[in-house]
Amino acid sequence: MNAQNKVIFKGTRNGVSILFDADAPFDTLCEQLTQKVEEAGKFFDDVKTPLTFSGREFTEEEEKKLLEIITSKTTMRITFLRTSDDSVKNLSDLITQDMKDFNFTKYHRGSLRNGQVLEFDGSIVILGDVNAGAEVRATGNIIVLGQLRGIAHAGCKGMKEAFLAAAYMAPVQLRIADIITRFPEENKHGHKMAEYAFVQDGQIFVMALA
Amino acid sequence: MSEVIVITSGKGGVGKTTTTANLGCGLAIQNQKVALVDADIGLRNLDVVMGLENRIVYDLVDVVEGNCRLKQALIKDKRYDGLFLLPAAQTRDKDAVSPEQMQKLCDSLKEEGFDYILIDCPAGIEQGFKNAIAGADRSIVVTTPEVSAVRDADRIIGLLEANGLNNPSLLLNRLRVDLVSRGEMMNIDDVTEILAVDILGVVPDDESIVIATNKGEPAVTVEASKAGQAYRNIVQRVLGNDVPLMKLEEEPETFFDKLKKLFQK
Repeated sequence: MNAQNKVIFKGTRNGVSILFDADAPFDTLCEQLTQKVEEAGKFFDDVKTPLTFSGREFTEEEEKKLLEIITSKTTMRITFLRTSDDSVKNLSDLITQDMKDFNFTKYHRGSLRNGQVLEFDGSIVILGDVNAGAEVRATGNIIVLGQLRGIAHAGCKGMKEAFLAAAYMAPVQLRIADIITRFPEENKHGHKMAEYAFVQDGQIFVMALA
Repeated sequence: MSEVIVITSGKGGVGKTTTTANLGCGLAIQNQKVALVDADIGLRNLDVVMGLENRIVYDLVDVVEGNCRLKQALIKDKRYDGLFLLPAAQTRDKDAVSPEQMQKLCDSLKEEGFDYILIDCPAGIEQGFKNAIAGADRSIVVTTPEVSAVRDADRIIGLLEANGLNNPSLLLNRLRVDLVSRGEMMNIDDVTEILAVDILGVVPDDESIVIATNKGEPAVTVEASKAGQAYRNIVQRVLGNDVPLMKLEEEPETFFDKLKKLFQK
């Protein structure tokens, strides 16, 4: 390996891989990474890719720092991080709150029935109904293109900016972040518009999507 | 061609056993060879409803454990030639058989040349349910138009789909026409909207079912009974014939209806 090149970018089948020198001090690696990313900045713009760190072991804090360098210099959308031992880490566990905008979305086709739970680290779109007794939990937003009659929990890891929308909203409970409300019984019947729920001043509001 | 159909509901007391007995008799009347399997081990009553309780010598657990041959345990019905019952054991519980054993049992019943094998599933979603659905090709979910029963039916449909039994058919039992017309009970549309599955039939609430069940004589044989007629229709649909849903009430024609008819012409 070239003595000067302690950080090497590689495109692989599994996305972008960054090879780090095993012996170089961490600060040097940070410097080189910053430099490389700045040089290649445009190249990674809006690229959606999994990322692998290899060559050496990093602590969680070091990993976080390296990710911050990448995300601050480019608009690369890292879908998930793969460590050298091939375990996949979800990004939102590693990086800071403001990266949450880069949430990705799970599309679920079909209805959720009583007793079924759909959980996802990101946003969820359901093409179907959520029946009474079913539960949807997302760290991001939830959109139900059908009837919502069960329990929906948007921003379940604390994101208050999350919203929750349904073509027909008649849930048992609405939860956004750590706020839980009951849905008014009188609004669960008859024809009505699609609605969405959001948090304002520590309260959940429901409004028609017009 | 033989087919294993499981009759299930989740909630107890909605009419699984009654449905199994009536479908079985109805199919036998149509000259099909039918086996009824009671999977409710420890709480058997299909034999009582069929009036065959006093003929039980061997049961399902005996067959599974190899204490007897399958043919020895099958009880021939006293009224219809092609109808047989495989009773459940009463002194054991659901853990006495495994899903694999049930599957094997269903296969051997198919080899016996039965056209239809109906499995009466126990209430609940535990071992008994898992056993009952293990060998099934098709499922019929029984529910009544009550919120609790519909909730459980929804749960069951989810579990059936998770086990590869897609598109279960729905049997709406014990519909009270008078309550529905007053808007105090869920109607057929309300139930199908929630459950989103094909409806196999609607059986109205009928005294004759209770009377027939207590006598050990399924209502499907009672010519005058409305519920009996409903079951006869359902039998036709199981056989693959297209029969329209029975009209349960005579609605008085309103002015608006007359107007609509006028325009449809």
